Amino acid sequence: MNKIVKIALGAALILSVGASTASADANKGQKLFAKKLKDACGMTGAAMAGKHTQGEWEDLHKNGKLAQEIKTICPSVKDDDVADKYLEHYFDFFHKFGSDSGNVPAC
Amino acid sequence: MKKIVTLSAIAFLSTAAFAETDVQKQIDELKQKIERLQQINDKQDDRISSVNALAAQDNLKFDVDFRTAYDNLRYKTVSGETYENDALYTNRLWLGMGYAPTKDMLFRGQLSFNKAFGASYGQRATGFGFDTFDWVLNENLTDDTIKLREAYWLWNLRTGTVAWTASVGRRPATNGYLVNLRDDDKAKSPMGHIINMEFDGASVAMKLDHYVPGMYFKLCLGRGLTNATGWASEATQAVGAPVGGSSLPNYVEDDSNLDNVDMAGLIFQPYDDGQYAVMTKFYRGYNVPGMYLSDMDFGTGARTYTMQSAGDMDGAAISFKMDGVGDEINDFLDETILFASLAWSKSRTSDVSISRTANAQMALSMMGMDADSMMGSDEDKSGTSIWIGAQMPNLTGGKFGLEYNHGSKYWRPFTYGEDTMIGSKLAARGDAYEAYWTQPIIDDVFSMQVRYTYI
Repeated sequence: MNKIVKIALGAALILSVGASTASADANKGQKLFAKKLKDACGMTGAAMAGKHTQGEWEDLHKNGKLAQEIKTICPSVKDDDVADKYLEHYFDFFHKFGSDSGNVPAC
Repeated sequence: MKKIVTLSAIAFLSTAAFAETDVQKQIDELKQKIERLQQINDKQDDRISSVNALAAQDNLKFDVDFRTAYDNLRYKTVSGETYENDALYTNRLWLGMGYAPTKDMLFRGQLSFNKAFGASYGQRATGFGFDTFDWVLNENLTDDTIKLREAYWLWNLRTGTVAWTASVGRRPATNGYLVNLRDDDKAKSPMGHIINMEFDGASVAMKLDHYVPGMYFKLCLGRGLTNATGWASEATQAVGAPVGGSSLPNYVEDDSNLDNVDMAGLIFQPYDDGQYAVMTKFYRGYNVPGMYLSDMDFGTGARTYTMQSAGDMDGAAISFKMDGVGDEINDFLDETILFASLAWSKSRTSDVSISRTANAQMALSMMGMDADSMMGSDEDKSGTSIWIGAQMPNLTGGKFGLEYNHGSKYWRPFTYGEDTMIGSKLAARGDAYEAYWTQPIIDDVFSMQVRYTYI
């Protein structure tokens, strides 16, 4: 019984590579989608991303029409929720899970 | 002269008329060409999407999470002894797989490797130690074999405004809600405060977020241990190597072995609007095994233990998370996450009958422990735990986190698979503290974490 641990200390330095971490851009977009758009859109993020192919999302983003397209799909979205500072993150998420991406959203 | 001028004028007009007709013709031809090119482009877009689908949707798509870690460990025992490891170097690989043949059906899998640098001379992954026990196989340091950590199918259904999912397979209940923040992973379905281990089983979820933001129920069923003999069990027994075997046919229940260990849990998320979230869970683990002293050599101090089904364990938790403080006050508060969680566990003892030597009986008597018990008592015991934490952005684009948890004397969660080298922080009876800094180094694909844990 005298081996019962009273105090355990651990210090770690971890280096990680992988795009599936919570810090990844697409995950930030997914989180923002849940916070800002999900209610107004009435669909899951995966369903929203699946509205366009990756190429179509790229065109929309490149031509500055992403906010307009989000509002077309989800008319009740507020202007503040498609502010410029969020668009890059939305794009990362929508593009990653575009209808022809083959990426499988976590569930 | 006049005639010549007239002829010249006619020639000019005629040339101009011909030129105009020629330009119009060229414009028409160009229009046709553009239309044809547009059609070809549309067809190519369709074809590229089809190729993408062929390349991706009908095949496994892989992702990777590879972590290299340096750990420094120190333990201090009740009797004042200290144990340490100044430099433990490890590699951990998760190779994720996804396959979504239709929008309603998907498969997810994960292959895993988790090993300390270099060889193990009979210390780890011997095959007979608890480090290779199925519940924690991929969370512990073993050998260089690739193991299956996750493999399940998930079926998405919808009836009216209610969405359903059904899933069966090996679906580790690790990296759950809130514990994922420190590990920089996306949360999986269990609540990290009470469950963090691998298991095989099934789940059915009913999503009611059409009515209340984020609301869903999820019933989870798992089998933690299967009582069935092995193939050619009798031959194994006859040879007596390496261990085990029985005189029974293949794959039948063996009454002399541990009972099936099952678990049933209900997750209920009453609310999650992306910023404010409440999550609850209740589970019962049936026939959970315990280790019982069956013999002791007072001369050498050597002890022999027997594993036996000990009873059931209940657990429950309620967790609150605020993902962003206030509304657009500033970027720092928008990116700050605060959480608090309260959990409870209760042992439900059953009759345990262990064959003990007189020495074992005497040892138990000297230690003042009930002989046939759960957690050192033959009575049902309840424990509680609180856990609070914060994760904040820092100036370098990373995240800084602080966590504290406290467990009571009989607190007992199923968190054996928690990702720290010094054991489960959340299973602490007493206080535990943790601080970490997660910093992206190259875009969002290469990052670093420095972590300090005190239990």
